Amino acid sequence: MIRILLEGWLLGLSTGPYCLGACAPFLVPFLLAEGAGTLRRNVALVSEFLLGRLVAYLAFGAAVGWVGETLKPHLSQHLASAALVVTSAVMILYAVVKGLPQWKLCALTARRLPMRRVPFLLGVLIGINVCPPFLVAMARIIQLGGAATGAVFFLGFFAGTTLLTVPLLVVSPFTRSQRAQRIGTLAAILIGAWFLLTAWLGR
Amino acid sequence: MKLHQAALPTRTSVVLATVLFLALVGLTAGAANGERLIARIVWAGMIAVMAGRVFVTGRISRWRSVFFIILAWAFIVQFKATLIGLTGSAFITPDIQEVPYCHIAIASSFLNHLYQQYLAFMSGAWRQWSPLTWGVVWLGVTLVLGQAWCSWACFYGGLDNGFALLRRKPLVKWVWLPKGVRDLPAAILIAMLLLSLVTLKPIFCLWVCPLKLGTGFLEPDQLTRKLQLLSFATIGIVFLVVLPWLTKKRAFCGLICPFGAWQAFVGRLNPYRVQIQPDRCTQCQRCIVVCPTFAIEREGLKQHRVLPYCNRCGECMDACPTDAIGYSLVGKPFASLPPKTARIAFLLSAWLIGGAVSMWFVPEVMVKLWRWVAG
Repeated sequence: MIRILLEGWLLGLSTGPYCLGACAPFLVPFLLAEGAGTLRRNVALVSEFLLGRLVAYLAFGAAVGWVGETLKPHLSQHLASAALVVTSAVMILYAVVKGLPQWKLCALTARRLPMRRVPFLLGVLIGINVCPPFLVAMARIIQLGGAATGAVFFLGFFAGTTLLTVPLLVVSPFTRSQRAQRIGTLAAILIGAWFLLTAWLGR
Repeated sequence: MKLHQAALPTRTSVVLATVLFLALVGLTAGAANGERLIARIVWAGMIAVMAGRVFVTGRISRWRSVFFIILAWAFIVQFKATLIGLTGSAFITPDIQEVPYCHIAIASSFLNHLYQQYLAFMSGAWRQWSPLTWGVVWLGVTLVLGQAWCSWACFYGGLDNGFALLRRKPLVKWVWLPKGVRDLPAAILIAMLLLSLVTLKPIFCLWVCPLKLGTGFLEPDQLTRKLQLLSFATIGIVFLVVLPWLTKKRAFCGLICPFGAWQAFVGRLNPYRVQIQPDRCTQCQRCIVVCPTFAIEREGLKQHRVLPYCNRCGECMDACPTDAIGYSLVGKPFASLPPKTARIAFLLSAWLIGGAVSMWFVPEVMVKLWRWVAG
């Protein structure tokens, strides 16, 4: 098991910059828009996001390991497209509700939506966005087989990729400014819209 | 015509214009000969005359605009002429495999450069740092000009500046922006940086740049290509042509361009600032009305503050009835500087950088026009 954990960790470490690229479009505008103000609060937000990603990884790793060879690649592709659409929709909804609290519909949505759980939700959704390193990890689990093996491999993979997510906290000092929060909200809408468009185009 | 308070004596203006002319000729004429050399000398002379008019009248915007519009259209002509030379077509065709790169594209896909350099470094090919060459040029320009690039050397700016000047008065009065809209370029910059990184493609070039209209090199998928062309056309027609023409505001620079936001952030390295003198300002709000890029807001004016998006075009200085607005140096209020020092230093820098950039393509276009006229 240690060897499998290490293998997942090394894969995550070597492909981490790509994972950083996949997480940053969602996490950076979110941190700016949230405007947490202190490094401690931003660390908490990022941790919650990472926890969501970990849950998704463990669940996905275990499922892939359990299903093994019967899981066909096209299934993961559909799952990835659906996750991208939902992630984009969550981003847009979050930004609109956050940016226009004076609008009645937004105020109503804000009360109904678990706004405090958005980072966790984003983490889960990003976690099942299938990127090339994720596919490599999945292929390896299919080869290894077993739910526990899959979960352990993805635990290592998560640890490796997470190290490279930490630099995203560099935006922390800017999040106090109201201007940065407005910019983050606008960027979240733009990024969400672009991902929705690309999901619709099937690219 | 009543002279502006910032007008310089004729003799001083002639000396400054001559210095500028000699510097431009010295910097750029060495590599040319024949008709190209003549064209460069003539264009340097024209720049010196325009700069001289600015010094002697104390009014910046009119002659800056003339220079700026010539620069922009010369760039377009030269860009298209080069394409015809390369591919036989005025449009980009599939023969060109790489997206043409400009300063806006470099800024909006900067993280991709960093990532490529990381890969080059990790693979041992650390010498492949070609984007760094442009990085050094950009850093030099930023140190000297900062945000002023957008009103003195950028071809996009020259385009919407040109359309904004087509009317004497705006057909539609547009003075205020809803809160936060002025920050849209910064949001676009962040979105472009991150999306370019995740897709490893320059998203600004593929989805926003109006100069890519008529391209054939984009995505092979028909629907995607149609949407891209629709995006180019909408942004180009609305923000570069129609809105500037209707409102006299540079809508592309003020509301879309990610490079403006980039320079507003890194331009803090630059020593020049635009300051409003509290003791002279009467809060008449004339500066807000004439600012083409929405860089002065009502709330900011009350505190005598200019937004970092200001690109030093000089419109507000020309319009201010009490000469309360002027160039200054970082950390140095007006009162602590000898009169007009910052203004002369800034204008010389701007004419020099803008002039040197224009030397790449304006003389070439002059030669082409001359050959065309001479048959």
